[in-house]
Amino acid sequence: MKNWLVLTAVLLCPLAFAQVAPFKYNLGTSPVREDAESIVIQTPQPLKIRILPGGHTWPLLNLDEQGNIYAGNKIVTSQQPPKVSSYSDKDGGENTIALAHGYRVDIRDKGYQITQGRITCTLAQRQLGLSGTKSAFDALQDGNIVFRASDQKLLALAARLGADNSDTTYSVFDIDVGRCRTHQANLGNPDLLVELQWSPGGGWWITGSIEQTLLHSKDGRHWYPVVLPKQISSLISAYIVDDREIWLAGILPPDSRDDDPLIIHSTDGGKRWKNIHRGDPVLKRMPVGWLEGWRRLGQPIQQ
Amino acid sequence: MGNNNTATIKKDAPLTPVSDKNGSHVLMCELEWFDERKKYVIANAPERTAKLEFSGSDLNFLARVLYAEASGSAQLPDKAERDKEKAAIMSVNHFRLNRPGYPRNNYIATSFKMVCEAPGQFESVYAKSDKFIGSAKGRVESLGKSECSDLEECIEAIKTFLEKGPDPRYKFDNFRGYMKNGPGTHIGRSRFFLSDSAAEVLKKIP
Repeated sequence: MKNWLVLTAVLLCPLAFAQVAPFKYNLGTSPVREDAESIVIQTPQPLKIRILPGGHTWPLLNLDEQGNIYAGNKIVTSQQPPKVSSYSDKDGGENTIALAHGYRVDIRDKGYQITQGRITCTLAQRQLGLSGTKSAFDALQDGNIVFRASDQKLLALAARLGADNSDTTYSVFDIDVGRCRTHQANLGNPDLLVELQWSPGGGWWITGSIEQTLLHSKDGRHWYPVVLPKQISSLISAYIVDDREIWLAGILPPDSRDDDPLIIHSTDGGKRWKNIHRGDPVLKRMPVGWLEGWRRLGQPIQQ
Repeated sequence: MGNNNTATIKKDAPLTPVSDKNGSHVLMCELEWFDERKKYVIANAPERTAKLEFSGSDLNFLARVLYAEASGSAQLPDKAERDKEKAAIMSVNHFRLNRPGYPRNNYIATSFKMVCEAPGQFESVYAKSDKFIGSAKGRVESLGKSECSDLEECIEAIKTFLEKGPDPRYKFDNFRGYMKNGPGTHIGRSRFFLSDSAAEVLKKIP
């Protein structure tokens, strides 16, 4: 090792990283505490969710449009007080993912068993566009496949990783659980796609985090890019309420402030966009189902 | 081979006869990683990052990300182009140190690992790409010759970055893989971006 690189030769001790100060917010009616490593939902038996490298959570965490929380195999309702229920199997539910609208996904050796009511359908990784080089568990945990349910159907966004990042290809699978068939829509490689979501008035959308991508679909099969202002950056999440109202988690210069939650809002279908500052009354109508939005409105916890 | 290596031979494993004096060529990827017990700083750093110290393990992690994100010799045979691309990627990593907004205002990275592990920012970390996984301890030793050489180049690129400081030619806050006629500044086989908000903040805090 060359000397010019070495500043000190001290033995490393565990570092107390404090770059993400603990903060609190509400999801539905449940208070939540978050720090750099975990999200804790304050139910009678607190649900601890790990934050993994890249921002994934495990167990998987998602909200539905009514603010009900889906954390791994558990469902926390948005009623007051919240009620907690869970799916269980021989593994104690560790390999079970609860989804909105009564869907459930169980991780199997080489794929995923999807259940809706009494109907089940097992799909191999390759049937869902995955390369199969990882276990079904790892592919789900690494976000290579994301399942989302609407009141009508279940979609999966799958990333088939290539030898290099530029070789990655994405597909959306419309899963007909009853017939155990899928319809595949190829998206190519438009961006690093980090989110698949649905709302009753907005339909389906997918968010890409590097090239500020927002793809929209009414039916989950035909996808179109939403034209966003070139000035937007750091986009990682969106919520489409309806044809007019869209929320984005990102930066829109020039009037951004240091303490902004970095939330951008449009009420005319994306023609005009506005930076939302803390305390803006419009935040009162932020969708209860937008997880990233609520995280951004978190308040620091005094230590 | 390093020190204290032990070879276990199964009972029925095929063995080379004593009469065979040619031996076998065994390739093991051995790299000159950063010393995990030491700390490093960036030379000629702006005030924003001048006081940051980086552990050897942090820099080794960065080398793995750089290896997974940058073009290898198979994709980009010209070493000078590969060096430029790596320097530009390093500019993105450096830009994000000690700055809010990547992607949230309450997430401020003070290590390269934090930069790379930020939510939804680096594809190889976010999706755990094969190249990223393949460079982890316990797997890296079995990398092929050219992949091993690519990773060694990444470690060298980081050493150069630490020695010389950020390359003033490159001011970017984001990058993505190759796309013919895709947007961004093309360097090597990657495309680089400087967002409006980043350009604005760069004027105030280099």
